[in-house]
Amino acid sequence: MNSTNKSPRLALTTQQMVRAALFTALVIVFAIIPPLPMPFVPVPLTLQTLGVMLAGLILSPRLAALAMLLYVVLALVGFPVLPGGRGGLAVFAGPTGGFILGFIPGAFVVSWLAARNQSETTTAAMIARNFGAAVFGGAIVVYAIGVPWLAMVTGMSMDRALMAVVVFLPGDLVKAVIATIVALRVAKLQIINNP
Amino acid sequence: MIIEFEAVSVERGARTILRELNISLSEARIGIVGPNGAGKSTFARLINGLLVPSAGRMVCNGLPVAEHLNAVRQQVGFLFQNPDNQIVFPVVQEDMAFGLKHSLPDKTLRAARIQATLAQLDIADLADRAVHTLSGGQKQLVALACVLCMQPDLLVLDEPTTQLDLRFRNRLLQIIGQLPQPVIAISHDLAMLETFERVLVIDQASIQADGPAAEVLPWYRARYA
Amino acid sequence: MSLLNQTLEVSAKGTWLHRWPAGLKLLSLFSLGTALVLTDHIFILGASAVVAGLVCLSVHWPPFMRGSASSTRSSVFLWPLITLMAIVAYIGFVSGFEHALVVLCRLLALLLFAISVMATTSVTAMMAVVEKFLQPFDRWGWIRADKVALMFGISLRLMPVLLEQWHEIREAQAARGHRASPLALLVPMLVRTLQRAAEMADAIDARGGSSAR
Repeated sequence: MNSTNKSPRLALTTQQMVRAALFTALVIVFAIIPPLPMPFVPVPLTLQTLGVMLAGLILSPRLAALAMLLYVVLALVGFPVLPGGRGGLAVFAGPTGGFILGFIPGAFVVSWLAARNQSETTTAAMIARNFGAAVFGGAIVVYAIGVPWLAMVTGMSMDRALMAVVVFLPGDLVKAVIATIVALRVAKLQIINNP
Repeated sequence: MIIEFEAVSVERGARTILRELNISLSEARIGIVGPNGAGKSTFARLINGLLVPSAGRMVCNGLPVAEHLNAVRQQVGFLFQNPDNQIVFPVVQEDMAFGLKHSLPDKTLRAARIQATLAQLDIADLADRAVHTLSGGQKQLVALACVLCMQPDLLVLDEPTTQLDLRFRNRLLQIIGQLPQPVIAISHDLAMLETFERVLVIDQASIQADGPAAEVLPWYRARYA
Repeated sequence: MSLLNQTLEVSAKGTWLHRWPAGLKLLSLFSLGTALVLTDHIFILGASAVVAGLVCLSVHWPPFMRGSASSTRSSVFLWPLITLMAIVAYIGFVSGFEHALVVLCRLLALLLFAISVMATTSVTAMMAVVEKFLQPFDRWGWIRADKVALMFGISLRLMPVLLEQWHEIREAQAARGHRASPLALLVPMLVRTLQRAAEMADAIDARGGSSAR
């Protein structure tokens, strides 16, 4: 085995590796369980995007992106880890591949924009900021990759492609609210458990 | 194999979990009992450096634990209570190979060691199984195999029988009885500790009792039942 | 539900495409995919779709003939087809029939080529390609290939465990008479998962850690 010298800043600790890998597993679970009924939206929604938002709100940017990268590679390689038990090249060779690839920068951006420690701001400010981060990273960045991909593969114009995904936005907003509150509660509990 | 606690204290925030422990562990079978949350798991995790003392130091076979983490962890095998959190690869053999990656780089030797350890625990048929298809008891045995295949000089077991049904519990006890290495076991399973040479009772941040099982266990039962 | 058992399995072995190395198949797919996306000619796209269909048939996909446990496998490919149909319908509605036909042929060609690669390449072979791809980065010191392998292992290993954890939490909430509010399910799910992470990290460290020395 190579024992190359790595700058300590880049190397991952065991704790970080395991957290990232567990979030990958979590997003897989969220993607394959049946859609859940959610408040304010008439249709049950899959939790996959919610998982991406949570990864961004709980992990550091690097780890969040890594967790999603693992997820994307597992899907690419053929494991049925996408909603509906799908996976493999068939999805990536199609019009929706961009949305999945978008998870990687998406989770990164959520984490980068979010405030993860309570100490700096009031709860209200933190909720507002994290909600914004979840929406921007979890929805907008993802669409920023997915929509052009969709347009390119199908030959649609960009605004047509955009119109095709606009219907998902209300659901994404609801998921962002839920993700923000869940992340906040989890952070509070973690502080209690690990003084 | 001697484990020494030298004036070891562990504090977490305002709470003192263990206070000024001075003790030396060298017997072949040592049991650790005590009420929940009293510090038994903390005590165990000090031995292989998963936790560092807030004060004092740990010495393992003459090596200060804090400065020789890797060497100590090669010598001390640790079995956790929940095998699901301990087995990291999807297939049994893969997980065992992972533990041996650094100590036994040769593939043939590694495979032989894995086979031998599985045979020792009578679970050779589980080698290629996917871990999540195994029962709780089987998983615990696999976790033990993963630890044993690294041939540690000392075994620390954190509540090894708590999640097992009767059949696997008896099987595990039999295996523990036959292990050549010294064993330190945290357990609520007092019957398991009856045959142990030494039992410690940990409560209120210190050791309340320390002696042969025949003396300590009745005392413990009387006081804590 | 076993993730490993349900991986999209390889169809009957021994066809010509099975013999191609996985890396070559992926490269070809990538090249074909790029070419298909760059062209708009209906004849090229139509011909490609037909060729793709023939390739699929030549590797015995779809496996209707052999009555093996193929229901899972076929239905998994159903979703991309449904998405495809929905998109083509949408395009037909907003852009007209000709555009929809172009898109139909292109998407079909892409899908069927991808399926033929998937059906003839095992997950193990695909993972091997990923590993080979990462090797130069490992040699240059950018990443640690053994840590990457460990992370994949952990994700696959823990996925069924977390799924069970989810069901346990649902049952516990149901037993308490609560409706399945997403918050009530997600908070315990996340907390327990993070606790698991901490203990797993300890377990790995206890076995000598995640890195080679």
